[in-house]
Amino acid sequence: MNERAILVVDDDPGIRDSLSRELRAAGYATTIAADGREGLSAFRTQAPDLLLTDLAMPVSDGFELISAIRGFCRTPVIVLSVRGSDADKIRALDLGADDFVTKPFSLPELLARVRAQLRRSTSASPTVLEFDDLTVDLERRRVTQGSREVKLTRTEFSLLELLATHAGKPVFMEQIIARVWDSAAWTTHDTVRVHMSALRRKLEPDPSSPRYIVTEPWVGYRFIAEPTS
Amino acid sequence: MRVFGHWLTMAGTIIALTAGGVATHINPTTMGFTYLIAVVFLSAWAGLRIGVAASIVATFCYNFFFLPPLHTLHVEDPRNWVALSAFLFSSLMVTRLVLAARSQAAEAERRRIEVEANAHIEALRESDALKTSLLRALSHDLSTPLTAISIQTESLKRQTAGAPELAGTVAAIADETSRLRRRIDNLLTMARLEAGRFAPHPEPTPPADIFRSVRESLPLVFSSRPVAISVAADCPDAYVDPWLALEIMVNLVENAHRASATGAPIELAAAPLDSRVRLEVLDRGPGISHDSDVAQRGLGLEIARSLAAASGGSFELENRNGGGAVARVELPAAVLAAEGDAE
Repeated sequence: MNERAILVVDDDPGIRDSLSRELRAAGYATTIAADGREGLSAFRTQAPDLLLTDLAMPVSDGFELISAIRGFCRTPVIVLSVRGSDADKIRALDLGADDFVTKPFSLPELLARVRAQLRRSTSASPTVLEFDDLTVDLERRRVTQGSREVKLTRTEFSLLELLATHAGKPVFMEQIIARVWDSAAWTTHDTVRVHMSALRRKLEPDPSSPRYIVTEPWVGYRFIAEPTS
Repeated sequence: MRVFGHWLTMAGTIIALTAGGVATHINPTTMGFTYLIAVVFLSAWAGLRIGVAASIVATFCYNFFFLPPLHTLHVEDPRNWVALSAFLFSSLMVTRLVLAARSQAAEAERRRIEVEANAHIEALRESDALKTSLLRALSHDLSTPLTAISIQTESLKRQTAGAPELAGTVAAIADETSRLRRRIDNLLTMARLEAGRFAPHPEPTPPADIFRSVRESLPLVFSSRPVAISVAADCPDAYVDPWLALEIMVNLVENAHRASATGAPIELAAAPLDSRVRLEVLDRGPGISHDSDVAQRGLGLEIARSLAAASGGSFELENRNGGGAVARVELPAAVLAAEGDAE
């Protein structure tokens, strides 16, 4: 049984309470807070494993909460953002949030994001990653799909390695450029897109319906750990 | 022409007054005041040059025709020198004063217009800010209860897992809730575009990803009938705002779903077309009749049309060969420039 603790911060009691109840039903311990200030003091006393926070709140908002928390720890933060406030979402990610869902979000989607964030802190870094029939051997730098070996270039493998080790979480363009290209000055978003589309052509069983790698608008890419359909 | 008219009127006025004065043997004092009044009107009407010229011409005529000795420019009586100088001085002063009053009136009018324009701009700015905050508030106030409803519905789903007779009802609530949410999204997007509060933010977007998001947004459509997705191997990314592309396609697929018979297939296709990307939704429904209006075809198509236009693309709906309809959206293609290569 999972007994990880999640702190839910939202000014709307309807969302706060129902979310907390469903998270408990999914096996998590939860604490709730109604604004950033309450959230920060609950965070300090409870030391949760994950923080779920709204952005627009009275008294002290989600941005203040995230930057306060990032001042002293790396606990995963998932932001509940509202459609049409993409600038807010990007700002929250810049402040150190790890992921986001857009209201009104679906609960299964949120639970998948929560699992992806919590997985990080539990698993010791494995050398072989497996997803359905895809196997990524990080040590031997080999990728197999079923019994077939997928031939990747060095860049493509580095891209896949970065995404697969962050499975279920968004990986930002800047992060990709920093890790795969060592922040080389000539690397643009287009460079990343060209290599990524080559990787996807080799990796996806049906390029018309991507299974593993999807674009995350305005952010970057996400490797899908658990197929949704 | 107009300036010439001014000079002519000025000359005419002075000549007429002079002639009148001479004919009636008017006394010099009265004539002086008559000239003065004429100068006031002429300068108010035609400005500085005419005013000064009228003063000088009137002074000349006054001297020549009314101050003794008559019909010479010579002035004998020192009192008349005083009268003549006083006349010239006062008519020039009057000209100046009239003009100053005129320009003050013009300045006041200009200021009044400026103040009014500023007030108008300020009002517009305020109403713009009001629109923005209203839209934000509306977006927040609508999505908050919808989020709560959808979480509660998931909760119901969990609690009724053992009761199949309730499962259908709960699934229907979930479906209708997400439909309501999509409608609200549509309307808010339209309102934002209309209010100029939202400029599309295009980026290279693979058509396969647009289709994938559509599948995630409409799980019931995809589970209730066969949906074939095809993306041409050489199809470039579309240069489009990903949210708008999703909204356009969700509306078109929903529309095709409602128009199609149970179990009838829908096809989604993407292919390059010159420097554009063509996305199509094909169904085997009844097709379109040309006299159908918005009310019959639904809001979805109109929204798709507006959003396609806002994305720098186009939208058309046609009958499909062999029955059914094809909804076609053409969007700009992204041109990817990959400089250098790490390989």
